[in-house]
Amino acid sequence: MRASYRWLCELAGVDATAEVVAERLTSLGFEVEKLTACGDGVAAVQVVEVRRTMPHPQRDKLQLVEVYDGAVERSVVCGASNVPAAGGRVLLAGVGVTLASGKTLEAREVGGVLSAGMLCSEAELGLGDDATGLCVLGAADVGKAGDRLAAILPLEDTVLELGITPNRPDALGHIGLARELALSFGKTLALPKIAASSNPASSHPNGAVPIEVRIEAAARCPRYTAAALREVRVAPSPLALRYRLHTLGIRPIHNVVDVTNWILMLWGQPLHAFDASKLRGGRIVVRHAKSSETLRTLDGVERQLRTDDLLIADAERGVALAGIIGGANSEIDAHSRDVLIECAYFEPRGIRRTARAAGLSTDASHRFERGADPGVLRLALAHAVAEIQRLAGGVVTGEVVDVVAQELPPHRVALDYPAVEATLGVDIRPAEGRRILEGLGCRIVAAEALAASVDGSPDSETARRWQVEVPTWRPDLQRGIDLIEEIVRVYGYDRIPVRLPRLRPAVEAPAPLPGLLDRLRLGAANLGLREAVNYSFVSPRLLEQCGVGPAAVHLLNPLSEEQSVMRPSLLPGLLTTARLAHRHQVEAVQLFEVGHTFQAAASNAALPDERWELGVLLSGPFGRWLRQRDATADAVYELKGLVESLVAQVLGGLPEVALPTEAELGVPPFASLHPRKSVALIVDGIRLGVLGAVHPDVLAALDFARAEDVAYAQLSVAALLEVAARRGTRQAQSLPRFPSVSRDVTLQLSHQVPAAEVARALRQATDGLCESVELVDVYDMESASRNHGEDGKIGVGLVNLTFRLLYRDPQETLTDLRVDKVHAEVLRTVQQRFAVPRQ
Amino acid sequence: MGESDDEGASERLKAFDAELEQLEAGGLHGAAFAELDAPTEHELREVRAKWLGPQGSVTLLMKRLPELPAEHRRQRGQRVNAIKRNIEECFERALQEERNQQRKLDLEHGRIDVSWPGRGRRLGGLHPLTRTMRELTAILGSFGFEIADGPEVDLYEYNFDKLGFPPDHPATDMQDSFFVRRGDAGGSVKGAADVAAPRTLLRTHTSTVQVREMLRRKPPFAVIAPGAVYRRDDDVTHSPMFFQLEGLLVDEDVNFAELKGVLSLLLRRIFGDEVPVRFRPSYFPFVEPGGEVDIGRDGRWMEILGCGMVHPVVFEQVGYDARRWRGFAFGMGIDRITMLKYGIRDIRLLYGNDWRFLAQF
Repeated sequence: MRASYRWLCELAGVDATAEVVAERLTSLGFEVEKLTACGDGVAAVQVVEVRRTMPHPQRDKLQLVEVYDGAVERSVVCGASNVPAAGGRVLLAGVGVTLASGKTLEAREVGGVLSAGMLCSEAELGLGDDATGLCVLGAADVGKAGDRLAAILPLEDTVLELGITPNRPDALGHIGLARELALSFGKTLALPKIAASSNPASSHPNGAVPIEVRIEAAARCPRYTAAALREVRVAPSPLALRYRLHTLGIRPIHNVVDVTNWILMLWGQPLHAFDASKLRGGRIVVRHAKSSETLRTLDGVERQLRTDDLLIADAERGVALAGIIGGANSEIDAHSRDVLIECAYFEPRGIRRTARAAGLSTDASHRFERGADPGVLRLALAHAVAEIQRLAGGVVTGEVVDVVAQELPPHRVALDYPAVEATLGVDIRPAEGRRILEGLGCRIVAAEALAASVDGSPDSETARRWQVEVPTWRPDLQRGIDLIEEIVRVYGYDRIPVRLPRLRPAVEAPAPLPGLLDRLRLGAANLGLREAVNYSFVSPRLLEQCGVGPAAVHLLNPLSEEQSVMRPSLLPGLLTTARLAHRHQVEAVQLFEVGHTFQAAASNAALPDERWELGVLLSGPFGRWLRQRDATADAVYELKGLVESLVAQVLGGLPEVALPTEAELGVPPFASLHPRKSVALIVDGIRLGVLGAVHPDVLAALDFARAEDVAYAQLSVAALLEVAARRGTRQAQSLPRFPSVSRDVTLQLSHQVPAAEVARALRQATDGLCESVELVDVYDMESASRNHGEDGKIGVGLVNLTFRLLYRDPQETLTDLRVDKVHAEVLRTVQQRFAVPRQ
Repeated sequence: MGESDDEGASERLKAFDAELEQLEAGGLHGAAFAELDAPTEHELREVRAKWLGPQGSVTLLMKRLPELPAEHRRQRGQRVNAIKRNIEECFERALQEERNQQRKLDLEHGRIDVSWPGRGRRLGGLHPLTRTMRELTAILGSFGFEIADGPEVDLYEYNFDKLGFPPDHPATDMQDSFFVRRGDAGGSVKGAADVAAPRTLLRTHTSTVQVREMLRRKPPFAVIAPGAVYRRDDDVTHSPMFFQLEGLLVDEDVNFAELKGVLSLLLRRIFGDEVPVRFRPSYFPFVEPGGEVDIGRDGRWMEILGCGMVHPVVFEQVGYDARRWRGFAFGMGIDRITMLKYGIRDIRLLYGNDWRFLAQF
């Protein structure tokens, strides 16, 4: 909300700079987001009287205007078409005045005539939006020739842009804010004096606008007040009022609506003005809309109403959407003479429901849905009527209508005063607490003694329960803690001491998850992977392209289709990230992400199945491994090494990755991976995740330029946790006492035989004498023979694998003789088992 | 026979002695290596081998010792050994000298171009958001807060109702929510009526974890909950997904002064001891008194976190005795802190996953 610094100071009786006032408001909880000074440059603008007008000697479209500035007559060149007749008052900006555009006027010749300044429009002076012609003072405006602009307007001001929290509807009016300032500065709030109606109702018994108000929806409209005026002259408001509304961000319309808006900004109470002659049947009915009812509102929109919507109707039809916006059918226009001013209290929740359903937020709905002040209605209405009469004349007809469908008395809140110190950690004396609460409009109606405290010496002043009656403008004050907040808010948060709580060691053992997540992230980064953080919502199309769709969890109200479903996998995000990197000429990317993925809920669960996952994506050329000539293999082995290292770091020891069983072979462990170049990662019988080359169809769908070397792994954090928990803390092994002996063996094998199976067979054959078997070299016979120009006919389907076996006997030093013997036996066994038939 | 044997023995002795004397002349007193000028290790080893190698002259002579009359063997043996020892010593000395010389030469003239890149560099990195998150959890962990985790898709009830948000209240506008289609979160899609009152949403704040932890635990305790949250905002300063860290401490006699103490210390740890800190009143339905904390930065105040004493209505919602327990809670945007710390001007960089950005960390 915007507030006028000048207006606030007048109301609060405060004399301080705008910066000090802004700081104080912020420290009271009304955050001032911006300060804008206005009116500074044009203070020296003068009111001048037009004496005569004549054509410009050289320029057709210009005129020479002789004006009187209270002392002398001056000649001004003017191009506007609305120069008033002699005697009319306009505004002259002399040399040195800085206009709203930032331009400073200089003495200037126009077509050979020296102009003494410039006659200005509202917009040029920053007084309003009207740029169509000169700003001409009307009958309602004060100011005679020679008066400075600053003398006839509250010109120099600072507009405060405030962030008002939704619990403080009272601060959406200047009086509410001024009340806080007055209390904070130790001043007295000066409420405006309201002139008694100049035409008492009784003097016009024959008023033409008798209004009967009936409330049919008492719960939604507890109280409705209204006043009718006849013979109102609808006209533009005086410049001073237009200027104030303009600085507060409200477009001036005409005097009647401007007054209602001014009252809104002053009291925070929304009003609505009807053209009473357009209300049919002399009646206002506050009721729910009917199911098929429509209303064309002031913004020109024909609205279909819902039965939950509250309607202000006349005898026949809706005339306003209650508390939100008026209807076009009862709008005041230039010819309106009879006016009905509505000043009501609407139940906040209902206003909010309707405003949201209608997609509307107006100044009125903004206040009503936060809770207006049911106690201010008569006052605000009287003030509005008095101002309308002052500016637009008119006579009040009939009684002021005040229908109370439901009493909303001020309520009482109990405050145990010792809770103040217990909550805040500072002793604020009861006298200070009382001063603050009373300054905010509360009344302390009783202070009962509390039972003596345990230590037996209650402070007679402090140990009391206060019964506090809270003002009607503070719907947020409902319980003791609310009053404590009020006390400390005004006392000052900065005056609360800074203390540290006693140390309380955590009794519950820390959950293992955060630590594991941290080790995973750190481990991945240390292995050369860069962390991505992608949005959890993605486009359904991307999921389809990545082979992980359709999504199980959809958003009802996404910002866009691109962000409309929750990711079931980290793959789409990482692929997108990699693709972007390639577009930026990054050849090889190594990425990881740790985040939630979302799967369909279990049958009777309230929430989707949400899991922590780790995704690792490599994309780009990688170094050769074991003489591979296949970029995809390089990428997969690179990834496998990384993932094994990472799992080893997290679980404390290199994992053994189990081979897929016969049944699992050829069944892709994950649809987004190449069915023949991927594997499930199983450790200790628990499936950790999957690893492999990304499916070529996926890469084609995503336009990857290099589709041959993209590999992806995803691990379930829950599974890692489970393995870690089962394994417990790694136990140290005693060191071997005898040296080891290593032997290499090269076997010619079929491509179809997994190396790990051979390694396992080798190990088994050594009868426990072998400590480790490691694949150290691979020689692809087929491609080798092809390279030798033999058309690949010799080594088709064959590969030479070299394994290094480490022999050790824990009991004694191995002799070469013994190793040779065992090794020969091992070779024989394994060769027999994996023998390739001669071609 | 005996005479000729004697004669033979004395001949052999004479020949032996002649050779011995010759070897003594050339092999004692360092003579063996004397003629070499700045020898290499290889040259030294060659000379040594000439004397002591398997076919070396000393070795060969040594092998002839048994041919000598027994009464002379000992004395001749000692003399041969003296040569051997002398050559070994000289060899060792010369070798040492040669190595010293090599080291000296290497120190004086040796060079590798150490400006070459190191081998097999693996450059990885943590996202700046993770860096901030780790820093915050480490600091708060050292204060005694435990880390808690919760789902990102959560019940409306946990996100709003149990935190004391009044129904149909504009307070929920501050946190415009993404709702989740009903059938996706258990149960079945029943039609438009379900859509009108969605029960599940993407959590708009990590305060949902407050609720979950309070329901799960018995006080006293202190927890923090870092994680992703979602609001329907997308502009230069707002991302529809962002990260928060929530803190909650429940105990019997905590107060606002202690809240100020913990948060002041936290902010000093993050931004340095000199950072200006300002507490001012604000409103969150689940705390009271509620506040926001600003830090001074370049002469301006920047909002950095929200906080307050746990509202009794929250305790009532989770079944704690609001007269016995008090608590304080705070929540901060990890994004904001990250941007301040690392000088990131545009929030979209944080979620754009541009390699050129990621590679900076």
